[in-house]
Amino acid sequence: MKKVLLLLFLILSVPSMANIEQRRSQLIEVIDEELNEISRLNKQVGARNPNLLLRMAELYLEKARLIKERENYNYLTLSPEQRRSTSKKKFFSKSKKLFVNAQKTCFYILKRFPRFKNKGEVYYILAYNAREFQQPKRALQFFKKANQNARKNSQTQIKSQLLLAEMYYNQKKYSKAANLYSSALRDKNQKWWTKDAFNLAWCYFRIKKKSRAINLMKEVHSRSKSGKYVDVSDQVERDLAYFYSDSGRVKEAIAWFKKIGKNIVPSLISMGKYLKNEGKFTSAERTLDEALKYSTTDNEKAKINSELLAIYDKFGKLSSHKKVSEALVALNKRGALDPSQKEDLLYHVERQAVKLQKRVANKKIKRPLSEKRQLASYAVSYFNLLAELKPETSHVSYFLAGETYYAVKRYDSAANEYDKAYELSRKRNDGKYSKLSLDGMMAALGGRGVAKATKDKYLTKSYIAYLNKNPRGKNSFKIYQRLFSSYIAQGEVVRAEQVLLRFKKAYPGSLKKQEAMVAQIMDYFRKKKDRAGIKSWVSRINKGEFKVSKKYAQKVNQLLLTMQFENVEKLNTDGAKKGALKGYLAIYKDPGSSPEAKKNASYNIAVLFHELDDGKRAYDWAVNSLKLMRDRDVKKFEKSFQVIANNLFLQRKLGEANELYERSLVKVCKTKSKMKTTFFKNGVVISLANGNIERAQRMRVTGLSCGIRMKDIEYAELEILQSLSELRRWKLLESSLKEFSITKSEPGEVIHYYAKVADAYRENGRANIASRYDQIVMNNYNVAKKRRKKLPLEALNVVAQKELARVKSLVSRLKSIELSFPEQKFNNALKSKLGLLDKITTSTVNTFQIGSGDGVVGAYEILTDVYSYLADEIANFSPPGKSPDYVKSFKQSMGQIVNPIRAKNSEFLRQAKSQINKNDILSSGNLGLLYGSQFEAVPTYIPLNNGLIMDRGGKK
Amino acid sequence: MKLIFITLSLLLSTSSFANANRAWTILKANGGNYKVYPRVIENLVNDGLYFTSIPYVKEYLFRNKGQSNRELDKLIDEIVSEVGIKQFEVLPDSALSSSTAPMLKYIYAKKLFRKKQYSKTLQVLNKAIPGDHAAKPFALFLEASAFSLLGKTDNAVSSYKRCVSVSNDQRSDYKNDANRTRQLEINRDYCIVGVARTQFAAKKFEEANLSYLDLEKSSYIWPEILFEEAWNSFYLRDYNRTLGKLVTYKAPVLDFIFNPEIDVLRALTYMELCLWNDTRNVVDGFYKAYTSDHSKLKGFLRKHRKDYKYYYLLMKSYSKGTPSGNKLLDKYIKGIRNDPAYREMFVTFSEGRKEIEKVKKLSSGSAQKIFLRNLKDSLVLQRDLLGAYVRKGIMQYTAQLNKAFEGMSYIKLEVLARKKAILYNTKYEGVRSRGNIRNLKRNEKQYFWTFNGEFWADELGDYVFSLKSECN
Repeated sequence: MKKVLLLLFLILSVPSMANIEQRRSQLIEVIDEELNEISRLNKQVGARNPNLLLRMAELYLEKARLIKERENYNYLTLSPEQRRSTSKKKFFSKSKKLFVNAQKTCFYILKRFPRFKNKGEVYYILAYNAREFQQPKRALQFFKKANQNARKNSQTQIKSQLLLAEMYYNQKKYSKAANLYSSALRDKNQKWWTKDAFNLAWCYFRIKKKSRAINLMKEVHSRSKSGKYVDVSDQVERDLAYFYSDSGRVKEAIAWFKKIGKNIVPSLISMGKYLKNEGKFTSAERTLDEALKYSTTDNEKAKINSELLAIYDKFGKLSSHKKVSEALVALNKRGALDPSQKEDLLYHVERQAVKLQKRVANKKIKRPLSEKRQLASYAVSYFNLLAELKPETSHVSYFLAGETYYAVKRYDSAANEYDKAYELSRKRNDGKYSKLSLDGMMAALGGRGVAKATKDKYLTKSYIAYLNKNPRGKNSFKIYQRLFSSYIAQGEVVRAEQVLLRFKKAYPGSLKKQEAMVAQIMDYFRKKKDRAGIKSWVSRINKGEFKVSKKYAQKVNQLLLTMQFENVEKLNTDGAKKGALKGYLAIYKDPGSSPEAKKNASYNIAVLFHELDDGKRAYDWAVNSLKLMRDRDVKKFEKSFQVIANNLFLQRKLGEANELYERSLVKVCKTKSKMKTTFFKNGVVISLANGNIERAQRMRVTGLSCGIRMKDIEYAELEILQSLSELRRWKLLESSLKEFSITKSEPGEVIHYYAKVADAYRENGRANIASRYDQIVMNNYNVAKKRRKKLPLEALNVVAQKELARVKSLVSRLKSIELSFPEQKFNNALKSKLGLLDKITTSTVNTFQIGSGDGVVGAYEILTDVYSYLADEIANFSPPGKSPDYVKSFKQSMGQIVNPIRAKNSEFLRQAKSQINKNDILSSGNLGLLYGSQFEAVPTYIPLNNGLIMDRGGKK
Repeated sequence: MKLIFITLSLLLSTSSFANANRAWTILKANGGNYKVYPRVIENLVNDGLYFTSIPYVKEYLFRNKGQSNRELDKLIDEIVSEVGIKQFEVLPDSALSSSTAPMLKYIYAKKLFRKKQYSKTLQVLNKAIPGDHAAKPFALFLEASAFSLLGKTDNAVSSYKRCVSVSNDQRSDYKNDANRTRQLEINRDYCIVGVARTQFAAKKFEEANLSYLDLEKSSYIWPEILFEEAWNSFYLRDYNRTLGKLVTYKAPVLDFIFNPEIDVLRALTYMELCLWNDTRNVVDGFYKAYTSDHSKLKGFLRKHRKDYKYYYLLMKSYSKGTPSGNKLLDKYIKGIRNDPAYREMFVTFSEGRKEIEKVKKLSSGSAQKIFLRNLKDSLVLQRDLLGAYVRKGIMQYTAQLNKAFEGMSYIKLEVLARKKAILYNTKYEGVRSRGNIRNLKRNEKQYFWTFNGEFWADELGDYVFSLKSECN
């Protein structure tokens, strides 16, 4: 039908458009002729007549308007695609050019003829153009000028005033508009007077001159009816009603309407509609409220409320909207609504409900829950209204209401709505909503804070219903669990077990949940302290009736264990250690006890014995526990084992302590134990203290495999080397030196051990091997020095002694040279001696650089000895067979050699003393240097009262 | 100022022109003193050497600050009646205003009239010209016109009537002087239509209509006045009569009349009858006929500016049968040539040329030389006056045509506006002030034009159309 009408319209409109175009073309043709003529005239008068130019501008404007009409029509007839690809600027360029021409002409007139009497008309064109170009500010300015410059009461002035007034009116500058309107409307003989006066009345109204507005409206009404004017009486009636009502003069309005034979209510309704369409919702609301007051029929009420509904909708006045909706629903019940009103109402109610629901559910906008709940209440009200308006789909409305409540966590109310929806859906065989309602109900009942009464009312019923319908539905998974929990909460273990079995059947793969359910049952039994129940379920689990995770299986067993230990632990906590020991022992010995229980019992026994300071038993049970425990268990209790081992050490039970350290180390070897290093170090040290080098060696190897840091390993290695050295186990020392990593990483640290090995070989007459080790000593020394590695004092002493031995050989050579005459021989011998002395001096200086205290002291000893020796030897030498004078002379000349040597000797002595004091050197050589020959032997400290010197293990 | 050489040797003339020789003798004897000029002038006039005397008259008036005596006044009257007033119009106002000579008073009044100083015109004319003076009829015409333009209708009508009467009276005095008779008749006829024009200006169209009938068709000015009658009929809304009068101009005998306003009035009349196509036809025909030549003529006028000799020669050449090459210009020249004023000026110029022979017969060579030089100056001036008249005529025609084009444009615009109103389907209210046909209608300021002179008469002008108005 619509298509037919459209076709008819097109058929009718095509010739009409053709006529319009033909007429337009003719007009343009005439205007072109006029333009030609004006141009000719203008040329004729040498462009001296501004009137002609003005006429030209008018014609440009007129033609521009016609061309624009055509362009508009053509543009609108383009297909959307064509329109998109068309440049609008280009499309309207022709009319634009003409508008611009008009404008240019006007500006030319104003410039050339500043005193032109028809300037007002020029400005009028400019204003009109500006309006065309959508430059309202400019248009306003030009209209103002047109008004100022136009001849008084001329058409231009009147038109300008009216257009200005209209612009001001649109800008809501009613006072200005009123002045202009009243000036332009002095002449009441214009056909359009009524239309403009109508606007003027509105201006008065807006500037609070309401009586004037009313009077003018009445005049407009009266003139409208005269036939001489444009008839705006309908608008007047509409607006006058509003004026009256707004002025609180409704009675007058009623009288006036009565006078003209009309009822005010339709006018008020009409005005309300108008104001609403104008977007003046407050005024519209007020007007319609007035209308409602005076309405007498359901029909009027329906109309008014329908309008109000739209206003409140736009206004967002929710409370009023709801109130009006309810009123309309009531009117609808009475059959007062026409189909369109009903449709509107339905639209509004539906829209509002959905809108509110969306606002409630919108997670992007954070709202306080209280606000959301308020909105939800409104939404539900609308859904309920909707249910009334569309009873056939009421179950959907109730469902949506339920959803809304659910969204604001009003689960009780939601459940109530879902239940209604569910029942109605079932009745109507609406599977979809029946299912959805049930889903909703499930969700609501699963919500936090649902009242017990609600749960009691709906939960079981709903769950069962749901599961019956959906044994494997989307939410069944949860529902089983909730139903199960509900039964558990009610102590209905048997039913709970049934649910578990159904769940197991429905979700055989969901072991975790099954396990959780089992756990709840177990928990139930545990709370009831029903060991039999637990045992029975543990048995079912162990038999594999319920597949549970290994962890849980352990947990279940643990539960049993816990229950087993509960009393014993209580005793322990209470300090009844003996009782506790008995209990643990009983558990340990109980054949029914699990290995775990036995292990725990054993450990606890060890701890208890340790606390009772019974080292022996503590050790035994600790060893037993370590055997029973897995590595991670030991790691867990490693501190306890350390404490027990430490206590054993304190009790001088070194072997037991050592055993525990070693066993503990082996157990925690591969874990991330914090005590690992302690176990290792303590183990090694106690092994060595206990003289058990093999165990220490073994622990070193264990330490290496357990990832003990190299620093600690090397510490152990040094300890072992030290012990081997002390125990003079040279062979093992030699092999250990080869094996240990410390030999390579810290070559300086092992120098003295190599020296000892060398000495041992030397003692055994195997000088070759000894010298090889000597060589290693020196190599190690050089490498350590080069790498700036640590060099212990022992090592430095060893190296210094090696150096001094070399110097001593020179000393021997010096001493072996005999002084004798003849003179030449003497001189040669003396020369050799002095040469060797120089060499010795130089060599000893090298020894100083080693940094060994013993070396320094030894070097000074050698120097003072050799210098003293040589001075004495030379001084004491008397040439044989020589005259006394010769001898005297010889002695005198020798004195010149001897004195400096003695002086040097004295200096060495001073240096030696100074070095010893300055560097706190403690060396056996100190005595001679410090005190000369005052003491014959080295003084030795002898402790009083038979003091003990302890070995590494604290033993004597 | 012309310097006059006086040679004593010329004082004693032995030729037949004793007066002229005497004039020379006087000049010579008085060493060229201007005070003896009246005697010189008198002697020259006595021998019919009017143009030759003009320089002496002008210098005397100038030097004597316009003062003259009765004898001299008579001489001046005589000279003006022979050479025309144009020669003296070039005199400064100071010389003219202080003169007591009635003819010079008239000339002065006319100059003032041209300057639109109508009250002053009346002042100058007041009791300045005796009733039997030769200038009186023309002075009365001038006076009536001034009254009329000052809105003093009754005075104007009275003066016109006196003018008619005095003109008639003097005509009988100059029966043997055809030239003078024609001048007086033309003056009389203008005064007859002057009454009608005054009534027209006072919007007394019915009275004017009757007054126009007082002008005989044999009048020299009737062809041009016919157009005025047409206007009067127009104002009487007797459009068919208007058209009838205008169609008379299509008669071959009137082809010398060039008045573009005739077409304008015709178009206007058609328009009043709502005969749009006829209106358009007139307008378009008009454009077709004149646009091109009119445009060329503008260039022609710019080119020759104030080259009066050229215009004189142009007329001379046309009179000998050589057209100008521009049909419109030929029309103008033809119209000017038939203008009584032009013809009068041309006749006096021809007469002046005859004086050359007279002067050549003087006994004294010096007298010949001096008088010939003076004569030549006067004649050259007269030639230039003729040239200027031709130019002025062309300019006036051009201006009329300009105005007519303007009028035609307004008419066409009016027609277009009406056509547009129909297309817009709105009632045409004709409220626009620009391009309004009212601008075409004459008012009291517009219906006078320059005093011409001469007349022409025939039996034309009584056609009446019978077109029916197509206005709704």
